[in-house]
Amino acid sequence: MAYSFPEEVLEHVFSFLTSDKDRNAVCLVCKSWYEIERWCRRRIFVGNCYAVSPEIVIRRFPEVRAVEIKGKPHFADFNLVPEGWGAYVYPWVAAMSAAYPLLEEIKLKRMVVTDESLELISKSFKNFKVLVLSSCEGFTTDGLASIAANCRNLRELDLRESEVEDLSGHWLSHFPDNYTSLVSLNISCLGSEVSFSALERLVARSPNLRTLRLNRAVPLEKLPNLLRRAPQLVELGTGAYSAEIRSDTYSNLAEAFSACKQLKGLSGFWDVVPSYLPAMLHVCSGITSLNLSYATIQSPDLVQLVTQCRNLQRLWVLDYIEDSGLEALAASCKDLQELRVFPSDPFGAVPNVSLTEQGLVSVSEGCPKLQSVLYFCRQMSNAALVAIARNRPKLIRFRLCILEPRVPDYLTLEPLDTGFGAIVENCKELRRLSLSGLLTDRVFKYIGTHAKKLEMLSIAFAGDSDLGLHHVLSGCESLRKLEIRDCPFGDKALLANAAKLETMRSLWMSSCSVSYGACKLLGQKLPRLNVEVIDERGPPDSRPESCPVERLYVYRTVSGRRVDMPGFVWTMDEDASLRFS
Amino acid sequence: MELELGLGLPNYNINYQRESSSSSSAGAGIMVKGHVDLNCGDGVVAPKNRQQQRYTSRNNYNQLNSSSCLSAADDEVESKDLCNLLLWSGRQPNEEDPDPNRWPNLHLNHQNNNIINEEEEEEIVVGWPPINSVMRKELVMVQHQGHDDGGGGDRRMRKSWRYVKVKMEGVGIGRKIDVTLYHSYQALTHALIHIMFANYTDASRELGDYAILYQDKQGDWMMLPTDHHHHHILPWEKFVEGVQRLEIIVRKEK
Repeated sequence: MAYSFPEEVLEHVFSFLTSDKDRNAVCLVCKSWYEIERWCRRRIFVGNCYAVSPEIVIRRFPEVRAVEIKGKPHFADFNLVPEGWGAYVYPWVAAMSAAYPLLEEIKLKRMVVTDESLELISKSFKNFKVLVLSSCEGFTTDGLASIAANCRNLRELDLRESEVEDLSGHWLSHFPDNYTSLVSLNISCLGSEVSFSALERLVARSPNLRTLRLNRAVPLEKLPNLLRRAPQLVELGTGAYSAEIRSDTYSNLAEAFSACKQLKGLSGFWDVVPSYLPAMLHVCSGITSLNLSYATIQSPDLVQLVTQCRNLQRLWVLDYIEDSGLEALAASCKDLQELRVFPSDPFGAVPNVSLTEQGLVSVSEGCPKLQSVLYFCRQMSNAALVAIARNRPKLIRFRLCILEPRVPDYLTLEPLDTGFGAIVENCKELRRLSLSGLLTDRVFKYIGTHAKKLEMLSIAFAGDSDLGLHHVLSGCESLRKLEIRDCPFGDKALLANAAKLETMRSLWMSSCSVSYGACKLLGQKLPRLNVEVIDERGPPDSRPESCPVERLYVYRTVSGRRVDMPGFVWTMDEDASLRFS
Repeated sequence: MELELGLGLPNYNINYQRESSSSSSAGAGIMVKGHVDLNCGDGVVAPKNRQQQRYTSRNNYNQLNSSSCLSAADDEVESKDLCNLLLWSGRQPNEEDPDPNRWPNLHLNHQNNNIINEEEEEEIVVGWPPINSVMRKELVMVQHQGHDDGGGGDRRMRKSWRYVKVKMEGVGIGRKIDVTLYHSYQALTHALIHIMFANYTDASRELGDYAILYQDKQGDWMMLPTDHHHHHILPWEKFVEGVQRLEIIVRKEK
């Protein structure tokens, strides 16, 4: 068009669009906008590494600076995906090292990352700044050494919850002496000791350091040394929070904390010795995020700490907090947005703490901004769930885990259908939901009817029949991720709603009743889906067609079937029958 | 209530017509044959006494799956059949009814407890509760300090454990208890009456009002020894090795 804006102007306009959704909409306007946009897209998010190939991404978006990729399905966190399933990052790194020399950021979740990949990253991207490896595995501290040695412009190195083979703590010493750009370092998942003097010197020469999450091996006595060199810290993860009781250790610690005027987030707290907690009390009023998931402190120390943090927005804590602690939290922390309560004794047959549904009800009553909940407990009632739903209609994430499967409402012994029904009916903005307890098909009817904004649903040990699954697949318009385990859902609902699966990122079903025959049919009829059967009992063909598969993972893709499948994964497609004969 | 649905493919397959107005978002053709009552409030295909369904571990579910493998390969499993399969995986509905005449002679009455030939259930439920491996390892170390098994894994963490089923008379839901957590009959009794079944036991009653029975390896039902026993008591360790299940009954009416 002769009178359209020059490309540069359009590019400039597009640069204000940060969400992928908006950018994707821009691409649909006309061919020239599609072309302009694709040359100026700088950030790519790949929610499923097998949904698209690196080649396709690179071909379409040639000037990318930041990439975020997710690999294994969520249930891999709970050992439901066998070792060796896939999600290797190497092919991505190899392709990008040639295509994106200016790449600055790589963020990975649940992927297998090797030392080779890390070395390739460190040598391919001169301006590399951010590496976040969330729940990843497959690499050792040697890989970290490459990153430290070669990434001169590194700002962020975050290894949150990854499994790293700890060969030695010397990798940290590979950061050169003239390297001063560190902003964020999270090594909390590392088992062995890093060289403390190297760490101290690194912190001392990093004036921009904002986030420092230490590992357990860093002793409490040494923490003040680090804090003194980084009083500008915004987020701190301590090491083990224990030491012999000595007044000089205490006063050092208290003084060091009081110098940190900008602290907003705290985590770490392994092996807490309660006498050292008051050393932190100065900073509590500024704290907005507190992660005590590993802290085995109990009342009254725990409650005192938490209620001192009056501006708390996010709290992750063990169930040592008990109902009484949650009540105190609800009274003191009116800005609370997110609460996660983890079980201190998840495998015990008998409750070890007094944490019930009441704690959650108290928080729902007292905290008007509460929007995100993850709660492990041993008993629940429909009345409590209804109360929570009525108190907090703005909930966005609600994940309830009653420790024993199929437990009914402990007051009425009825299923928890009405309780969860109230949650989805009242909380119209709900995006994520995890169910537990005794549930019939009725709860799925409620979910299908009301949960129109729901994007992710986790179901375990619930439902009676295919009708349950049918309600969800036919009713939940915004559903992107559905993960199911140990439910009596079978072929009918799945096949009847086959088209729905193309509108979702993925579906996981394990220990359900989906037959091999249905999987084959699904794979044959829907070429834009990868229908993967994961079965450790050998080829599905060696059993009757009506035999249920152990695990099923269905996801949409533009890249066709995987080429890196291990021996226990089979893709169902048109060729499946040929391949098996 | 029968659920009969055809293969619901996306609209690009022109052979399928949209017959139902309750379509899914991708404009999919859900081909609906026969009678589907999606509005029925009781859309449940379930055993009669819903709340009396036992906890079934993953292994039980695999039993269910494998039994359907052995049956003749049908193209479609009718919902009714699925219902029957579900029934078979648990107790019969009437089995849980309280029966005060159930225990006239403690050494008899095998039949009430062996109606379903339940194999020794694996007490391991993989990946449940849903906590990730990092936290799992942390908690194992905290809870079982002194044991040298290290971390990781699921329920199977201590070197030895023994979960047995516990039922209380008149209570629909059974539980499981790890008897190796306790060191004496008294401790076990206390845990059962005052903790595990605290909601069902009357605080005004004494411990002695409740009798706990256990089934041993031979299938015989015996009284759990208490302090009042004067004659020969089975040593605790032997009890732990041999106990198969436990049951709590109320001795006398108020």
